[in-house]
Amino acid sequence: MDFDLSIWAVRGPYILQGLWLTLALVAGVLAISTPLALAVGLALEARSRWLRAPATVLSWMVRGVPPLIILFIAYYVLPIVLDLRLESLTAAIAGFVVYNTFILGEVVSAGLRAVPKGQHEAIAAAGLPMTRSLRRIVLPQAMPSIIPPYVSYSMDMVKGTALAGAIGVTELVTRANQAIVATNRPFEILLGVAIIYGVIDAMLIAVQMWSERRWDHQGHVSP
Amino acid sequence: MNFDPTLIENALPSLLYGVRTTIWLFLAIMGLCTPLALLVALARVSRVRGLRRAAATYVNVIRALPLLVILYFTFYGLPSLGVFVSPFTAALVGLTVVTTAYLAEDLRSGLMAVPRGQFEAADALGLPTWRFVWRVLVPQALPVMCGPYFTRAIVTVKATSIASLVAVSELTAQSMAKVTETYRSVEFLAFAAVVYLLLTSLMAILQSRVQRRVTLP
Repeated sequence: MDFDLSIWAVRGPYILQGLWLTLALVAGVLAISTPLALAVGLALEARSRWLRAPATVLSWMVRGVPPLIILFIAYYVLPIVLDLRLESLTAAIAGFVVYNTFILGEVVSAGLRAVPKGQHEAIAAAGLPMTRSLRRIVLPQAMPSIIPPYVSYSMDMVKGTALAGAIGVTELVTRANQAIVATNRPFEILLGVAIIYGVIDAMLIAVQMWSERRWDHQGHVSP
Repeated sequence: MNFDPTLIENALPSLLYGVRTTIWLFLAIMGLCTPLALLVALARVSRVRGLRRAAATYVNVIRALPLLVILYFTFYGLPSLGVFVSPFTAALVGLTVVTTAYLAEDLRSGLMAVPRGQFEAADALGLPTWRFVWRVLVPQALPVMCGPYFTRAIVTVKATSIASLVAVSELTAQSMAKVTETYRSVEFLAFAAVVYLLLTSLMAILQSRVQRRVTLP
């Protein structure tokens, strides 16, 4: 077998265009699903059963099904239900948002559970309004246990966007696949793609280390 | 939107074939990667530095890559090396390589939970390494490993669906073939979703059963 990286000079620009789609997909999905995940996390831990029960059932359903199936549902079924045409990129964002919201929702809910019970009792005793106590007391204390899994699931999300190719989003891996089929050079092309994902992975690890430090300063409450 | 269950009924033989393939793929992956991951996890806590490094490199490189990229490696790469295998085998190899890396990290956290003193005591008694691993380390790590192990198994059930993208006729592929054949998406995607939900829920029930049994008194 000969190994010839010059294939990237020819196919590189086309493959790399997919990188922007991958990054846009990740940014869009994280931007939408982060606030939704917060809502789901709060619902999962809510005192009212009418909030908790549907959140729990939905979370079980969404997390029990492969993301690929959720993407197919977003692409094939959602347009029928909503009676409109969906671009494959929109459908991919919708599918990933649903999946991610519940995955991250569980992360938020676990973080909220890590806040000592006494804090909630103190809030109730002091009669603090709910939104302010959430923002000022509960969330800052939950952050240190939310951030590490949040970042690691975001990495899963970055890698998971490769699945969007299955519903016609020509992101990085899909374009790489097209290039492999056209040139029969799997090793050279996949090596390049692997390096790109390695760089993204390293950047996210840097973000995690930065945010952990930041929240440790501001969110830490001395006993 | 209307739902026509007779469509599923008519397609049942080929859908069930997909379910069988999914289950076989899953069992084969878990059967292969359980011992492999334990070995990698042991290598990561080994006293030999080269072993530790090699295992860490393998785990970190694999975990940085999308599963689909690794499946393309085994699906396109093996044949171009002159190794011709069926799509099922290519997917099995790829999924095993990936799951082993993740599972090794899960199991390592269990090994790390065993108190340091146990290692020192084994050293002091001159216990042979393998005897120590089987008789002291693994039994004590088991209760801690159990939860992450089943979580990984559930992730793996879902991950088998990606094999559909490299021509394995498992549940997702068989359902999508019917979608293309009949132009009806709702029925077949609902079928696939329900079967996956059943499989993952079954694993979750198994998890709570096993966990109750292995909890240390």
